[in-house]
Amino acid sequence: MMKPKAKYVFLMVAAGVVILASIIGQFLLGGLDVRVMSVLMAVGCAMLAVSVVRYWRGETVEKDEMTKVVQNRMFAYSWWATYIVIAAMALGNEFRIVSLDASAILATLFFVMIITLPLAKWIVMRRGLAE
Amino acid sequence: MKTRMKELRARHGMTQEELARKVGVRRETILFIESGKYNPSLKLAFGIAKALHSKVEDVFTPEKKDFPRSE
Repeated sequence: MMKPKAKYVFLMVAAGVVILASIIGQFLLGGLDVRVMSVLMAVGCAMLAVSVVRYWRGETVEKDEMTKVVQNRMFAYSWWATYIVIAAMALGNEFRIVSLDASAILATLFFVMIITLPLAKWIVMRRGLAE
Repeated sequence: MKTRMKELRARHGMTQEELARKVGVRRETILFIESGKYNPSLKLAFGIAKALHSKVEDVFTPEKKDFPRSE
């Protein structure tokens, strides 16, 4: 198994590759779709930020039993929120309140899941995990 | 669950970070256990007790609310 510090260095290199790919794709390969480039760039920057902070803090344990419980609960909350949004969209579409195409539905679900994850984590950490 | 972790840790001159490293968890986990926001697994509870040179029942004491169905 890879040592944590080496893992963070590997992650930094991977982040660099993703960022470079987005730049090369845009300027050298005739131009990628600007949305694809933005997503690639954002993912690369997020990976870089996380790996640098973790390397700098010298964290040796990335996951333990509590982080797994937190993760499970935040995913559960996030999925419930997504189900509710799906139900709302289905009803809205059924009663012709909104007219959604596949692309709009996918984008909405993607952003709902991305936004509700940190929110769910905040709620879980605030409520505590003792039962 | 009541815990005397903080007191025992101070007695042994150990920081949260040091205890976390000894038992192989994140510092946040130690913080949450000490503040009563997380109940550790049996394995972790025994690991913490061992790191604090104590018995598990000296470190953790269940409260009445931990057994809601037993009268």
